[in-house]
Amino acid sequence: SPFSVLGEIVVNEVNFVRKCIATDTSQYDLWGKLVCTNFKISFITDDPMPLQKFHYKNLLLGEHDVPLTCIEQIVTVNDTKRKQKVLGPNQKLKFNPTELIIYCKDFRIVRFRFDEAGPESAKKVCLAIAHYSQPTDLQLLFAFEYVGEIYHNPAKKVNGIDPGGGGGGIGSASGQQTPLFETYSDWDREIKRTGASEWRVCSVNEGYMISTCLPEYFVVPSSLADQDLKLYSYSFIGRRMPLWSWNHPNGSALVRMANIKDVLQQRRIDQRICNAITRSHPLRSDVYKSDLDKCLPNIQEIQAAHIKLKQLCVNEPFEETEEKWLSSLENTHWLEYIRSFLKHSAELVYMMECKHVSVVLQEEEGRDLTCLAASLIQVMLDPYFRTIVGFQSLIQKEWVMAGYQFLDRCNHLKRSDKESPLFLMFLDCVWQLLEQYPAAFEFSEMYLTILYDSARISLFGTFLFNCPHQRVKESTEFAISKNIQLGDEKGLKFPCVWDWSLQFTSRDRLLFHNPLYIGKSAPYVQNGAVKTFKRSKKNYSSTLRGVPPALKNGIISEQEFLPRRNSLILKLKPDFLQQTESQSNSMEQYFRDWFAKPVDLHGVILPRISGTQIKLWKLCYFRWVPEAQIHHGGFITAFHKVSLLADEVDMLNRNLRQYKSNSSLQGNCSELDQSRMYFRANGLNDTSGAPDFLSSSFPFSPVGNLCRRSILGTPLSKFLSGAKIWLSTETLANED
Amino acid sequence: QDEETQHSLECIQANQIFPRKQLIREDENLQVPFIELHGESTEYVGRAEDAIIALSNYRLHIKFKESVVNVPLQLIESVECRDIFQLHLTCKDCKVIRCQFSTFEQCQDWLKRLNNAIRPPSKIEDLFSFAYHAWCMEVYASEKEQHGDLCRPGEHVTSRFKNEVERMGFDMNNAWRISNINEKYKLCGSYPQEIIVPAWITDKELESVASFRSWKRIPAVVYRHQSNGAVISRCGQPEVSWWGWRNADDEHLVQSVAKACASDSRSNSNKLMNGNCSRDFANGGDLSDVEFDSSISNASGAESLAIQPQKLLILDARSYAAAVANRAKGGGCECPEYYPNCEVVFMGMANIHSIRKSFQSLRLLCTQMPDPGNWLSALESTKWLQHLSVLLKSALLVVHAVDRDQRPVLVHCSDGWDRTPQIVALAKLLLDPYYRTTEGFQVLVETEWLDFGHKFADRCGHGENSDDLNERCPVFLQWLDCVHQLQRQFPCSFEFNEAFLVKLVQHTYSCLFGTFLCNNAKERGEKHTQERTCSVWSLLRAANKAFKNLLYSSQSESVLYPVCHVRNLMLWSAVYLPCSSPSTPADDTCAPYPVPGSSPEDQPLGRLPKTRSFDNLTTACDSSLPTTNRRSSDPSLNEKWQGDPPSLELSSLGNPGDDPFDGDSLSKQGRAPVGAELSVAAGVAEGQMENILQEATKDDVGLEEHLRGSLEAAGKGDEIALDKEKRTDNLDG
Repeated sequence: SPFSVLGEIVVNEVNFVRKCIATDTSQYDLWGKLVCTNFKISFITDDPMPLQKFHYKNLLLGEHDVPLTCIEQIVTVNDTKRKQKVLGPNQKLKFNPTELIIYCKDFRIVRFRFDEAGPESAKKVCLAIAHYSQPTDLQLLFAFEYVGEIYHNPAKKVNGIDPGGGGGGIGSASGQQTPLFETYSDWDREIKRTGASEWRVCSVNEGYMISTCLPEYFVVPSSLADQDLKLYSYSFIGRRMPLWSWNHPNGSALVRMANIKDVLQQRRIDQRICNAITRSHPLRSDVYKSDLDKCLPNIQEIQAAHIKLKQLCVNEPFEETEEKWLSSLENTHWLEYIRSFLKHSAELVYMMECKHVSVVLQEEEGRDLTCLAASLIQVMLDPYFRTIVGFQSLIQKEWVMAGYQFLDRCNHLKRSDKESPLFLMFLDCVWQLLEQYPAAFEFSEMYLTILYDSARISLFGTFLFNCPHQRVKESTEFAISKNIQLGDEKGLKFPCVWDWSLQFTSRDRLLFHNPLYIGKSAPYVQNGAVKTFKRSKKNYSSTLRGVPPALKNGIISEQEFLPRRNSLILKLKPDFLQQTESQSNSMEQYFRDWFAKPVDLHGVILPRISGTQIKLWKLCYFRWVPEAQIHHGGFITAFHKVSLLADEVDMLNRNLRQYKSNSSLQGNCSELDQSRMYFRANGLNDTSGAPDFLSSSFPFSPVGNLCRRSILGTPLSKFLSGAKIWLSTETLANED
Repeated sequence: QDEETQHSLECIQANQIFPRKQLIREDENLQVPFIELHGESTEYVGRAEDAIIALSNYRLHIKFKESVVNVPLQLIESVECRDIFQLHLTCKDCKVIRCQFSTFEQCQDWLKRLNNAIRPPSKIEDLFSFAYHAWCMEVYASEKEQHGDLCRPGEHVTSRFKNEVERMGFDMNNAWRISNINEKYKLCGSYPQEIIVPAWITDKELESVASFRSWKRIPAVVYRHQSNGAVISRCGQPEVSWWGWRNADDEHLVQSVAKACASDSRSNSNKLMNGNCSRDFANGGDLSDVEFDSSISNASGAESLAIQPQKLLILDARSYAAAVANRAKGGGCECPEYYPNCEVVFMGMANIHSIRKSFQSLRLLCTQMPDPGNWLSALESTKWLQHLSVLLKSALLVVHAVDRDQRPVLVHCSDGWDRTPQIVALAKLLLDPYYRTTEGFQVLVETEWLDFGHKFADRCGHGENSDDLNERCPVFLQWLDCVHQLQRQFPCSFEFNEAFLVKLVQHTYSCLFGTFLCNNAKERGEKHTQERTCSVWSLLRAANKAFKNLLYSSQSESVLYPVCHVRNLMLWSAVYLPCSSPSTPADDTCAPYPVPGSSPEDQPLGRLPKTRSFDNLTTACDSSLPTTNRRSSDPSLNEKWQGDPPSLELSSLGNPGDDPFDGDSLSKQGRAPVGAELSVAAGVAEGQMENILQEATKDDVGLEEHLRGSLEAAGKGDEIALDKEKRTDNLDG
């Protein structure tokens, strides 16, 4: 059965539905059954052959399925009456729809025709989808249904995996668990890992006694007593007092906090906090405060940019965007905002790295821009966060636990005017770094894209709530109403998104691995001494030798890292890093020197932010646009080839090891069959080319998503005239 | 013995014809700050503000405190004096160089010198490639070794016509013939001597057609689809003029191209059919009815194909308006009524003047680099990418017609030597994986660009007295940019890498090699450039590992269908942007991992894939570096000259296979650490592969040590290492 997820029930279904594949012809359309469940909409084709030739599959979702939380808008159309209606929840539909168009949050547009279907059942399915995709209450989201079932039938487990678990890393070989930072010990370990000796885990918020939007455990300067913290907390918005994020090996700390609302106390408390942070610095260095509200785009601007970007990437007819593509892209401001986040984070990296000062990120509530900036800074500074487990722990630490409002920002309930794709913007920023330093990350861009998609599957608790307290509160209520015995547990345990085995087979999870990554988490032996790359301070200061100087003179330098001093940005944001002239010079010098040196992928990485260097994340935004798909081409072909080479090196290496174990009589060849590559070399003399199914959209298949012309290429005449035949809903009269 | 005397004669001649110039030093303490090439002599060395500036008969060299600029004189388009003290040099490949002087007089002196130096030559022998070749020959002769072949392109280039006819499988019995009507260029000065035409078209008819086509550039067949027989042909515009002339022989020839295709493909499908039938019979005739039916319908399909040739597509690169406007100048376009069974389409590609304008705005943009926030709209306003997009679309249209619809295509623009080779060569590149190999690409450039008379001298401005700025246009560069776009979209489909293309851009203009001299093959023959200069392919040869794409897989898709939308095109930053970042320019979706190096340990290898031009001579010309490193810039040369006497070392920069631009990056290879046996080869992905290899071996460094020890003891160490190398080599294609 396609509805294998526990607690999933079919709400409504209609037969003889046509899923449109191309607009100019119905020749490729698929016939099947459209089903609405309480988890997803599903299209079950009469012909069981999948469209995807490759077998990359989400275990929770079929090829044509859309999770209800992924739906953005539902449009019903009646051709003959020339009417259309956007379906809200609990709305009536006065006509029988001939067509249903689903606009998805992941930029997909799916179109169904009901020409041959029963008009009443078609209407019912449309209304059911509208109803179930726009629930009125958080507890109506599928995740609750699912978890309830789990607790009622502990024997049943989805896909045989315990959903309550904390989520294993994706590499079964590594066996590492992602720290969730729900417990005291996770924070304590992070303190030890970063060598933050003057900081302590504080448990004043146990049971969310102080703040409902802070985690139960967090880290504060050792010099601040619990009593003081409790006192100070009243002055902060949301009682969000300073939270420690990370420590630089040089002792500088990264701290985040909300604004102080109590004007009278402001100065005094600020002073006390800063003093405490200074005292926790081995050099007693100053604190540098960065007010993010003043130097970064706000969440409304980011949301507006995202809407424009979507309009440009998928809603506009493909050919018509050609002439003005670049300026239209610029006008979305999406890339500009990406650039400003990267730039500002890099400047704060400079403060910590070079000025040895602790940095405090300040924002009104400290739970939006702060999440993004804090995580970016850590990705740049700490190679641990460029591993898969590290990256996941970073998202737990700086987003989930720090109270990023996933429920509102992702708009799972479709009623929020607080929607803003900050999390996507973070993933995009990380993608820019990955693009610039392809070998510095353990994960691939597929991983980032799939992670983004997973935020819109309402099965996982990870991205469902506004803060940890909300999970406890809502799920306790739910448990009581459903007669679930919680025992000692604080709220229900939802499946964790980091438990990737819920969604993908172990083989498919290999696609998350970047074949270019030089893993370094495992210590290795050199000259007899165990050495870890991790925290060595000499990471890139020792790279001076044999390096050509910067080529600045003579040829006009393309990318000044910073905009010229009289540039627009600085004019508009005068209080942007209140630095003296000399400081800004030394920062420029730092960046210039850094870029002149060879990059140490295990050390700090800094973004290049010039006009040519910040790019559109095509896999993420173009994957559903069939016309933008490069068949047999794109990045994936290189990924494939490199995977084969890496796999082969692995294989040779195993042979060597085997040789050694034979000679030293330590036979252990269990690892022989393990490969870290999704694409594997078939033996040493593999000469077969790239598989036929590879395209720039891989592993996503735009086939079956709305295309404005025939999938098998265009007839000459249409190629020339530029087809404008896609039925525009705007031309139809709106029913209301 | 004779050979030797002949050679020594040659070198005496070289000395006399290209004597060294007297070096003028502005200051007694000044040294020539770079190593001269063979035949290169420095004329002036002087001081600019915080810099040493030197001018030779080949290059301008400016050594700043932290950087070095090295630019071949012919690459410089213009020199101006700005703000009294500053020289402002604009280059033909989009770069701009500035040099500050201390005094007005110095600035003026150098302005004068440079203006003299960059002027188009009054006679072709003034171009450096002649002196370079002559002096190279002299050196080789004195070495008592024959290295002359190093200056020549390979056999695949020299006998390209014959090879291509064979390779593409032209049916020379029924469909096609080779006409020698242009022997000694007596029909058309800008065409090759051998031309493929339909078998039944006589030379007399061709002559008549020639009178009707611009510059007598008659429709000539240049490509045949190996499996379906559809061909691509090219020509100049028909001279319809205001009078509306028509030419029956021309109409007949165009019809005949389609007919010849049909008969050619018929012969093939007949063969196929016969093969099928005989096999079917041999199988004992137990065919099901259905299969039998299908084979019959196939047969009838092929039959009808033979009777009814596929509609020929005439692709006019211009807009309809431009094509009609050309009638005023005696040109025009085919009137569809006179060419039955043809379809005429207009691609609306801009002429050289618009392209030049677009390129100039691009150059301005790249030197001024606006605020990142305005970058995209500024880039859009240059229209450069839009022009590329139209060009790619035109080529893709040809590909669709030939590959999918099995239709013959005739491409032309006005003269048929600018937009026409762009489209045809690009279409061939998309259609046929052979042209995506290094050798095939050389053949492609030689055939479509050089044989069919793209006016390199006029377009680049290095012909004799070619100072007409209106004739200049980066047509070839624009085409190379499209090839680069394809490389990005299909990172595993090309045998050569981006560095190959970047080098090709530079040497299109540098005049170090003779390949792109003159306007057509006839002129090159008259000037004996082939005998008196080196071929650029001696540098950009298949064996040169620096230009190999390590991700190439020869099994890659046979026909490429790129996405031509501007959203999928990238600015070619390696060429147009003066990169200040230390890495090779990063890439779009299909980056073959160009970011070099990782940890400092593998830096020397990681930094190899440099693709920039003169700016990367930074360390190469630093005299503190051992000059011998330069030798390793070319692995194959190295092998060859393993036992060379030291005397050659000093002048080794001048070896023809050596790229005088690339010294620095490649020289580092010489300093590569041991353990390089694991390294695959120089190339774009080198650094990354090295990382992978290191990664793979990392956790058992001790083990490796142990292994090596025990293996070497057994005398097998090298074998294993070699084995590894071979394997990875194999994979690279």
